[in-house]
This record gives sequence, C-alpha cells and structure tokens, in this order.
Amino acid sequence: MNAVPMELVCPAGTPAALDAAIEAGADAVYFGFRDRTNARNFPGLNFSPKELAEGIETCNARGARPMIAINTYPDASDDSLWRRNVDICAEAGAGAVILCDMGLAGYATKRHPDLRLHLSVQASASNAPSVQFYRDAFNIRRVVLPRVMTVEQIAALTAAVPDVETEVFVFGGLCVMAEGRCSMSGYATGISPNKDGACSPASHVRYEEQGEIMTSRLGNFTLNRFGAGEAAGYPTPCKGRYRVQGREMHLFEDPCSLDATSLLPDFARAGVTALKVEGRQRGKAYVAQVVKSLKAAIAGQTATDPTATRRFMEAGGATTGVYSGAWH
Amino acid sequence: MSQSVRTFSPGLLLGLLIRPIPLSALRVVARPVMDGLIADLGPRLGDRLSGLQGRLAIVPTGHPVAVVLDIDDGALELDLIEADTREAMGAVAAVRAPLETLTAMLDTEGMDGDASFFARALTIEGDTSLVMALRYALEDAGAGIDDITNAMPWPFGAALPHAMRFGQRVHAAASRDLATIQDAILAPVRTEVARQDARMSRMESQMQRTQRRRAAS
Repeated sequence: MNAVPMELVCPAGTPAALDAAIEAGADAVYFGFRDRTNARNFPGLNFSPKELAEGIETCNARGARPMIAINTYPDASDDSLWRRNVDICAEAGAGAVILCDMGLAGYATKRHPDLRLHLSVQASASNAPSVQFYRDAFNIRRVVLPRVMTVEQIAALTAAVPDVETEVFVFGGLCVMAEGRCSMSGYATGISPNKDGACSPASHVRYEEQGEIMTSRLGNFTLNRFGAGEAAGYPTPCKGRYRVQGREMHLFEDPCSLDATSLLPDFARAGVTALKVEGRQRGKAYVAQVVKSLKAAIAGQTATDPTATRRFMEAGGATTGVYSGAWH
Repeated sequence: MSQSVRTFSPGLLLGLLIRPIPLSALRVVARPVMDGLIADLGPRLGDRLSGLQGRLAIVPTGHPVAVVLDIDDGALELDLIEADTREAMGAVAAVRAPLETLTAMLDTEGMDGDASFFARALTIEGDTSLVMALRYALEDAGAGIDDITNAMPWPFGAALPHAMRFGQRVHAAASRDLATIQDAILAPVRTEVARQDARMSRMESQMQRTQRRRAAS
C-alpha cells in the first residue's frame, strides 16, 4: 500500500480549465496542443504552443505538475509535428510528456533524456511484459492503464513492475475498447481517433429532435435514439444502441460514466501511484466540482454533497467499470 | 416541442412578457449591448474560432427572439432575429435551452454544456462542431453575466443581477405553490388509486385462499 497519497491528475482543455483545476487542488494537470498530436482534437479546444508554454509555467509556479499529452500516432510520411511538440514541451519545462507511439518515444528518449515520459492509455499496455518493454526501451516512468483491468490485475501488474508507476482513470467518460487500436469511429467518419485525434469528431455529429425523441447520428449512421426524458450521451459507436437478433440494446457498453471513487482504498492497496480524471473536453464547472470532490475523497473526507458530481455524468449513470470485475 | 420548453421558469415568463414587443424595438434596445459585448469579448476569444464560419442561433426556449452569432474566421457579429426553425434563421447550428440553463453554463459552479446536454436541458441542431468551438471560446474568455451587465447602460446593468436574484426567488416560491396546487388536484386521484390497490390485494388474497382450499380438498 502507498505511504504517500495518490496523485490526482486532472484534465484541462483550455487555460481557463487549467486555472480551475489548480484552484480546485489538482496535483497534476494534463493538457495538449491544438492539433492532431492530441487525442482530444476538437475545434476550439486545447492550447496553442504559446498557451501551452504559459500553462506549463503556471503549473510550475503554482505547484501542480504539468503533463502534456502527445498521444496520437504520427503519420508514416511525416512525424515532424509530433517531434516539434515534444521539443516545445522539453524546452518549456513540462513535468512529463504522455505519449503512445514507440517511434516518438524513441525520439524523446534520445533527444531529451531528462524529459519524463509517461505511457498513454492509447498504447493499451495492460500486462507486465508490455510495461517492462516500454520501461527498458524508452525509460517510461509511468503507465496509464486501460480501463479494462480489475483491481486485482492492477495489483499484480504493480507488483510485477514496481519501478514503473501506474495511473488509473477514476472518473469521467468510459472507453472499454483497445485504446489506440479502435477504428470504429474512423470507419464511420473517415477521421481516425488514433491519428487525427478525434473519436466521433463533432463535425460529423448531428442531433435530430422529433417531438420528445432525440436521435443522434455519426456521419451516415444513426447511433442512438433517446426517449422522452431519457438522459442522453455523446454518440460514439461503442455506446450506440443497436438492434441485435430483434432486440434493441447497447451492444458494447451503456452510455454511462466511470466513477470509481468508492474504490480509492483498493487502488491505494494495489500500489497505484496516480488517479486520473477524464474530460479535457468538459467545462470549468466539471473540472472544479470533480477535482474538489476527489481531493476530499483522497483525504478520507466525505464530500459535502455526494451527488455534486452525478449531474456531470453521461446519460446520468455511473459505474465502477471493469475495476470491480462485475461489468464487462 | 422539447420537454424543457414546458418547464415553468422566470426565463419562460420573461419570454412571454416580451412577446408583444416588436422585434425592431428589441433590436434597437439590444444593439448597444451587443456592440459593447463584441468590443469587449472579441479580443478575448483569441484564435479559438479561427477557420470556422457560419451562423449559430441561441434560442432561449419560449422566447420570441433568438441571438444569432455570425462567425467568420475568428470575427464575431451579434444580432437578434425572430426565433424560428434553424433553416429559417439561416443558421448552420442552433442551441435551444431555457434561459436559466444558458446563464448557468456561464457559471463555474453551474452545469457545463455536456452535462446540460446529457440531462436533455438543451438541444443542439446542425453543426455540432461550431457549437462546441463557440462554447470553448466563450468559456476560455471567461464570458459571464458580468460581461452582459457591463455592456448594458446604467441603471439596467446594475439592476440585472438583482432582477435575476428576484426572479430566482419568485421561481422557487412559484414552484412550491405549483407543487401544492398539483398536490391538491391529485389528492383525490391518489386516494382512489390507493383504494383500488387495496381492493386488488384483497381479491388476490381471496384467490390464493380459494386455490389453497381447492388443492387441499
């Protein structure tokens, strides 16, 4: 079990959200460039190189570790944008760069040996030999684990590779696919989540209201239809509702959010180093409320309003996901 | 019509109150406020809207007018037009929500856009990417009620926060009164349902006793 409190790693999609995260007590803030190197590449979101350097400076001045996500896979023909962004991070004093591509990791290791590297969830490293390989080849110091492991599996992994820190998602949008390898959204839109940085890009998302019924579409595909008063979700193919053998169902997963707050003691016992909040695409209100609530939970305090974070959840529902082994 | 349209609120009441006012008069009153907002907000939006183009309509539900934002590669213009379908407003995207939801989204303690959407408190039509980009730009610019009050001429700007607080109190009181009236209207129905429920339970018990007697004999 950890002797030190687990680090809370919080999302920021804009400089304003970064301020809100620090204000709310984030130990670390992760953010990224406004381009294809970022797995949250949505219009109007993210940081210009200047804003990013200022964000790093703000974090360092206010005691929050800045982590920069460069977590898509570079083009085969030209990886200069990805390399340039790694250089900017190193020069600006980033606390860590979160990446997934081996070529980029190799570049970062050689060019900036002092730059701390974290392995993004986009690498989908979920077993000890895989994590050991990234450690040995690229000096990866921390791995962000995919949301497909039980707490017992996480404990076994941290025990097997004790010199690599583990970071687990505790709150926010839930992806249970093989991250970095899922192409469902790319099939529907022609835009790759893994190379262009947008799963279900907003440019291809449409909502249609017919009376009380709301239909959500991605490209030419209808992904969901929500009845009167039914809480809605963002249309990703994995959370769509499909007709299977005559029955309408969520084939892959329900459109609910992850909330593993109740498992914090289990994560601590499993040797987890850091807890991650998903949601760089979310607003300041989400960041502020969720960070405050989780900081209180990590400190062993009961949140003043335990339902405060519930209103931010997709489709109004929460799950502890695969962590507790009861949901797949 | 969306569920949110039918929810009573001070914002909806305001929409009903301004219905008789001609659009031309509303535009004359709103023009200096909108110009002030653009002058103040424009530079703060940075380049978050660069490369984007199109008209976005924001329609407070139940209101006769919509605020339209014309975005042209980072530049922003504001206007008031008659609320209508997205196509009739010439908008590539439209957001419809109660006035309270729209203002709450400007507050750090309030809801964020995703949460309001998940809760079906707002609807998005058309180009979702334009809506998202504007939302991120406004949020990062720290746009809020203060910007609107600052852009309003004295004494309206100073009075707006008080009027909003008053409206919220009236809304809370009216909601309580409405619940009391609803309760009073539904009380006889509830009594009748309870009576029928008890009758059904008695009949089920009798049936079970009869079946047991038959089985025993």
